[in-house]
Amino acid sequence: MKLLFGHKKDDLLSRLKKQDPAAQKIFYEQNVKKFLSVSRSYINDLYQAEDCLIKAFCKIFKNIESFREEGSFDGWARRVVVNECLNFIKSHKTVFYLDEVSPSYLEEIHEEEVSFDFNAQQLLAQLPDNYRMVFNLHILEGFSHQEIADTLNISTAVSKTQLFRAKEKLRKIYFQQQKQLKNEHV
Amino acid sequence: MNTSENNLEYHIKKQINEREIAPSRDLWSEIETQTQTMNKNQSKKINWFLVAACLVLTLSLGVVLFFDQNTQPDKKVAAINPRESIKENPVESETINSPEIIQQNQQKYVEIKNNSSSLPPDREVSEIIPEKKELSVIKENSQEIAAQISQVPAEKILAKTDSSKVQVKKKRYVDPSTLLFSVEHKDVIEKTREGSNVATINLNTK
Repeated sequence: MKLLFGHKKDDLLSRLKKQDPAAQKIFYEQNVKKFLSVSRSYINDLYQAEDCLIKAFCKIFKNIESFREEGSFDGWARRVVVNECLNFIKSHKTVFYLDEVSPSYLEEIHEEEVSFDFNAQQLLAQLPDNYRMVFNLHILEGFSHQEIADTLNISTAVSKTQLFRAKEKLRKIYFQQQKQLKNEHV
Repeated sequence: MNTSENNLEYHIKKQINEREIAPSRDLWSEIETQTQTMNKNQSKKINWFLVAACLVLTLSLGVVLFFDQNTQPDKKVAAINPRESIKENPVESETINSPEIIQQNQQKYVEIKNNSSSLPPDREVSEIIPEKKELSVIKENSQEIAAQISQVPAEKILAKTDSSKVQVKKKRYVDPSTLLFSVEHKDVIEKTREGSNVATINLNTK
């Protein structure tokens, strides 16, 4: 089964490289929902996230020849989506990066015993763009601070600071939400 | 210590990676139109390359032909020579040597000579070129004739060489009365050893 699946993927990739419209539609239908989720984690507005996704799909189809088959094709395509989202944020909004924070503050924040019943999108939506970009790249995409620094044209220290503040803010938002929920129940 | 499963970031990552969001509008139609326009633009680029390549080709051909025209008279003379050298084809040599063609060519030659005074100089040059060809044909014949001359006795050489230049088909005049006689008296006509026809008539018989 695995072999068959692998052959199908290779076949789809070769057809995509030939700019076959039917193969492009199959690839779109397979990945649109996942990629829209990725796009929404960077961009709050659904309409704008969809616009970014359209551009990303066009770039995937256009630049498919540049895929060197070193990693997975889905991973490469996801990276294109992420880059498109980052470009959109950079071009539409002025992102300010705050000053560096001394390393002594960069300690792991211990979680309290809480039930993780929350909407991740609601939490991410309340983060400022600069925090969200660094947080998503580090946590969701698994980028190192050096990679984040290279991608966003910032220093690694700024990347670390942004990540720390993003985590801090997320916790604040999360506990506020939990308190509100408790008060509503009481 | 905080385990990864109790971590807030871990749960955010899990939720985001597992969720799927359906698009609110038909994104595919927009992607399709954009990819089609991209493909059209690419094909347009290729067409422009083709047009540019065609232009370069035509220009280079034009330049080559222009310089070729300047050196054409020399080349024409050179082009005749290989034709002369082809003696292997017997059909061609026969047609060249046939007296009818030579006669026609000579008529043309005479016509050209007559018209040459009335023609402009450029045209004169262009029509002289076939004349050269005729000369070459005569040369070809002269080689064969030279071989024949050695076999022919010295007295006939003059006549032969003259006839080689002007190989005119001899017109045979037939007397109608002799023709009628030959038909009426077929039995009387006999062939001699030399090949001539002789009729023996007994004048004493009535």
